[in-house]
Amino acid sequence: MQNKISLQKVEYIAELARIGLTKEEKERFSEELSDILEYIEQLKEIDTKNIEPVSQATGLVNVVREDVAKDFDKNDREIIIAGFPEERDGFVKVKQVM
Amino acid sequence: MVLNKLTIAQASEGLRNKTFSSVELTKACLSEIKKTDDKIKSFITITENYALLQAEKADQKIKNGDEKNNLLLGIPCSIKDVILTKNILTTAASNILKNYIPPYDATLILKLKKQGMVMLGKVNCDAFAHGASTENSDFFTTHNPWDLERVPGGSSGGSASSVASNQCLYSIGTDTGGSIRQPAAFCGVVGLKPTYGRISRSGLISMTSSTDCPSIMAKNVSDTALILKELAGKDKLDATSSGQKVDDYSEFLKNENIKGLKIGVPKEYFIKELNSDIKNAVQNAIKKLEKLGAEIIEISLPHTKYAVPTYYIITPSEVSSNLARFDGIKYGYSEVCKVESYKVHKVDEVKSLEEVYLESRANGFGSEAKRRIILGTYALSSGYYDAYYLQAQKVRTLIKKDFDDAFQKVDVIITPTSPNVAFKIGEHNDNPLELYLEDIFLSAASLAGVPAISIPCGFAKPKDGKIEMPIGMQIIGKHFDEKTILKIAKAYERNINNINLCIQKK
Repeated sequence: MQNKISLQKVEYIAELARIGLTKEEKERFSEELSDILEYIEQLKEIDTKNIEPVSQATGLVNVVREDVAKDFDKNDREIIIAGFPEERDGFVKVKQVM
Repeated sequence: MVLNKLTIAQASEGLRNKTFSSVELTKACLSEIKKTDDKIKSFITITENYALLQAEKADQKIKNGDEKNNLLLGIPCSIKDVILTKNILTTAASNILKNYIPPYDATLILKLKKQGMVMLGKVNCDAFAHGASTENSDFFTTHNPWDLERVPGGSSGGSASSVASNQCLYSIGTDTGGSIRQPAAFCGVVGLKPTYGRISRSGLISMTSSTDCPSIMAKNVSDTALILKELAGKDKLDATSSGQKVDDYSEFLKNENIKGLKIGVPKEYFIKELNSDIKNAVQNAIKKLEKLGAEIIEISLPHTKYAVPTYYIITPSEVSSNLARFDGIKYGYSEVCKVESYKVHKVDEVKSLEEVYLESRANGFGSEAKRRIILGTYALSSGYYDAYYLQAQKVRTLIKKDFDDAFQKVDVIITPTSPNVAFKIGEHNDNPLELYLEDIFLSAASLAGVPAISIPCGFAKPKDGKIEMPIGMQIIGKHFDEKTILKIAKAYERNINNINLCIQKK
């Protein structure tokens, strides 16, 4: 049987998700994810025509707060910066984008 | 007296009566860890000095007579490594966070610090809490203390093994689709997943934001109740946390009368795949509760069989979004540098930002995280969204409605926690779907956001083993009605001598 998620599709999705996969992983995921989707297909047998999707399990709606910036402790800031693999003057340094 | 075997209530009494100090209690736990953890492997990080410092502070407070009613003061615990602890390595058991030092504490950690907790260390789990056996940890597998050849369950496997082996007195973990309840059942301890939003999620490394629940593991029901009271409540850092009244659970448990409480037993959970010893144990427990005055009512939760497929669309979808932040430019690990300790020996092999993403995520994530990211990205992608994600969220409404309807008729629902006892390490390695099916009795409550507790209710000998393994019984309640499930759990525990102390048997 043909896999539901082809090798090419796995490659395409991996690219969307910015995740590098080896050839072996792509083959394995194509097979495993196809099995999982096959199993999930059973959801299609349920009639959900007039059913609203769940948005929040306990029924909360529109919890809002003021959008204001708060100061961050200087020492805590240092911990964050220490986690940057590359940093300059307290900013994240990244490789060229284009 | 073996201090590390005490319950929280017992230890707290001993501390207050000055029978022993928190430093002595903490040392007893640390020495148990040293003695047993090379075999059990609960801990990723042991914070010995920090624990002893906290214990000294607790002893000082007790000496000064401060905080008489604070029962968690000076009590040693373990914390699942998906919960942020400021200045202390927090890895989610994942390679991509193996260097990550958080700049802030999770809200629940702040609350425990205020109580004067003693944290012994951070415990192992499936990486990013993806799994049901702790075999998906990127570092090592944790072993079940009852039989080292078996898994402790997961994802909070290190929490369960550390409590069950008396390395600590309690543990805080998380439950997204069963991750506290199933390991609690496999290791013979009590595991409570509160209502969604009952305990703030601020400071959890997010997995499935719509079902993630900080959760509790302890040696008995009373200990669980007293921890819940301290952690519950609204938090402005988590918009989905609830302002519902927090009950004084310990006070409530003093009245042990369960006469007239209605227990629903759903026929969909007593299926042919259920191990017959487990079926008997749970049915006997239900009979016991009936003798104590509860009314037993057979009910139906018709969408039960759709819970796992629904969960395995919603979870990967949310995972693919939540794990997008781990990109190799801000959490320590990166393929920008060739050496593990960052900021040294930078090698310019990776040229563009996109390559940093691709390479860091390729090497930083384990198989299950990758599998879920790919599946979730697929389910959310254009052309598939309606068929998978939207349909799953609609079925979720039906699953939730099953519970709403049932709770019109009954106060709690009782089921087995897991269809089998703990399986052997490596048994499900070849087939991820088999492992997903471990969640069949657990996902529905997570999707509906209702609270559920697993308590020990007996032992069964597995077909492929000689050692009897613990069985768990699940009690599910209405939204924010943790007090009733705790009450039923306590009533059972009190009346079955050998169970709440299945721990002491170790």
